[in-house]
Amino acid sequence: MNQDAQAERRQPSITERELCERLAWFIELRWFAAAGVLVMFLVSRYFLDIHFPSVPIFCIVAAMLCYNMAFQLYSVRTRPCETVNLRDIEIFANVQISVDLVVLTVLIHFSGGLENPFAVFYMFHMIIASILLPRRDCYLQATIASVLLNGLALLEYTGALRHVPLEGFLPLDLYNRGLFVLSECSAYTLTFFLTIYMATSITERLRAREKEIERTNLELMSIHEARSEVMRKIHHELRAPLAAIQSCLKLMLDGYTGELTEAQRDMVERAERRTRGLLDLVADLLELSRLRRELPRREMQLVNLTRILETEIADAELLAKEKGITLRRSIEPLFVMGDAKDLQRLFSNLIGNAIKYTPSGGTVTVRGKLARGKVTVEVEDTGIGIPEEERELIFEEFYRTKEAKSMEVVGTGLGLAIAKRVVESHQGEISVRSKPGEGSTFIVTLPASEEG
Amino acid sequence: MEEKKKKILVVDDDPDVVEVLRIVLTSAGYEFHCAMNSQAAIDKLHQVKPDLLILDIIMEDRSSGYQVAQEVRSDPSMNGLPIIMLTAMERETGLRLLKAKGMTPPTVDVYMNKPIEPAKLLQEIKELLEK
Repeated sequence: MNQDAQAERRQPSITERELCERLAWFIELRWFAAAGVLVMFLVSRYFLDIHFPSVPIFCIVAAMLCYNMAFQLYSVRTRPCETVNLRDIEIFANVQISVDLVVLTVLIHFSGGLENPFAVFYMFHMIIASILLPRRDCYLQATIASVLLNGLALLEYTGALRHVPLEGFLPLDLYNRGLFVLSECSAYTLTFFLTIYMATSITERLRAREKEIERTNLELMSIHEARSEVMRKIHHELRAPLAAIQSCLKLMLDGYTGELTEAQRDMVERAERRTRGLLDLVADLLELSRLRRELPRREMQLVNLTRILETEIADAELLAKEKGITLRRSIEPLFVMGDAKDLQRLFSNLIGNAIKYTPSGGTVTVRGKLARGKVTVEVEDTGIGIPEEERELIFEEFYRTKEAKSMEVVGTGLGLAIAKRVVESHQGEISVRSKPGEGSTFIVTLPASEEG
Repeated sequence: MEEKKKKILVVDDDPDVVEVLRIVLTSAGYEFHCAMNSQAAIDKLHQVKPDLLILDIIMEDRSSGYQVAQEVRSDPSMNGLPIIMLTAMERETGLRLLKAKGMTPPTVDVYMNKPIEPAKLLQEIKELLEK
């Protein structure tokens, strides 16, 4: 086996995995088939009063049990599916089907030949083969089935093989009518091949499509990877000059360039604050791509959510006061497993938004409660609200409602996108209730954790 | 007897950052030396024999800051030279880039992110030099 094939084996396609998993299923079904044969035999004999020889039937059932046991033992080797060569699995499936067809033919022979309506059971194998196996294998199985059935019919018709009639079921002289035998045989043969033809036409197309989807998926993944790389470069290109500006300003504030007058200090402080804001934005962008790429997360720890909420509210108080907004709170002791930094960012975003989009004189309320193993935090405002058609869109990156934009409030449109990612990475949910013009409530639910 | 001034070599390709560091370090009483690329840095290392090294991950050749660190760590004559990595790049990103190139990260003593916080930086330098 060359290395390419080995590499391929490690990544079996969906169909291949399906085939591998179905192998065990075939074997399972065969136990039921064996039992079914026995039941049918007993029902025919004792309830329907149809008689055919019992010894061969018992032998067939015993044979089924034996070879199925052999398959079962062999199939243990085909697990896990990732480590087995696909062609080996296909051959194993072919062998199972062929053995079944032979046994079915013997069974049919001892239970009336073409007279037995259960001869249609050949079809099961045709259908399963068409779905799981390559086309050429399917035609092989159809050919085997046809040869077996036609051969049986011919032998019984010519008398080379003694016909075992189903006494009490059909007139006994059916095999004397050549036309009956001929039409039965051609109907079966045609059905086998037509089924294979029709079913494989469909499954081949499905398989081709599946391959294409897999290929597209890989392409998308590599495009995504490349884009992330570009994003990281952009982050650095933005960050480096901002960090340099910030360093220069800090130097001035720390007095390395001489004492500043009050007016100079004020200006430098403003510049420093805005630069810090920009650095935060760049950090947010990086954070968002981190959350989006689902990189290995930071370790989850027990987080005192109440403390985080209190800190964020305290931080927001100054801004609220400046805007003439009342900030209310009612928070129970809450603990969750999570990333403290992410959770801080989440609630600073939600509380910050609430204040930003609430006009002067309004109220922002933060509620935190514990119920049925879930922590629910609500951030309610009496702000501009969100129209219903925009309620899903606000969680998209860079989306801002028309109303928000018209308020001329600075915003990047990233806050809620990050919020949503953070909540999702904590197995939580975020939703919004809103009445345009009256206010909005953002509701975050997270799985609760015990203290300590 | 007056103690000899400690020498610090700064390797960074951003002239503004170099200037900020020059002011901070000289005013704190250190002898300041700088190099703008990794080759110049290696030359200066032998010439100046600094007591401490401040490195950036220089952008033109993304991991050259690490290369300088590697050079230092593989040279027995510079055994125990303290290294501060001072960069706008997040530590994880730097390490990932290095790994992508199939390099093992050299050990540095301190990893600091820009913007530069003068007080914090000087504290770290003091601690490293006193070791």
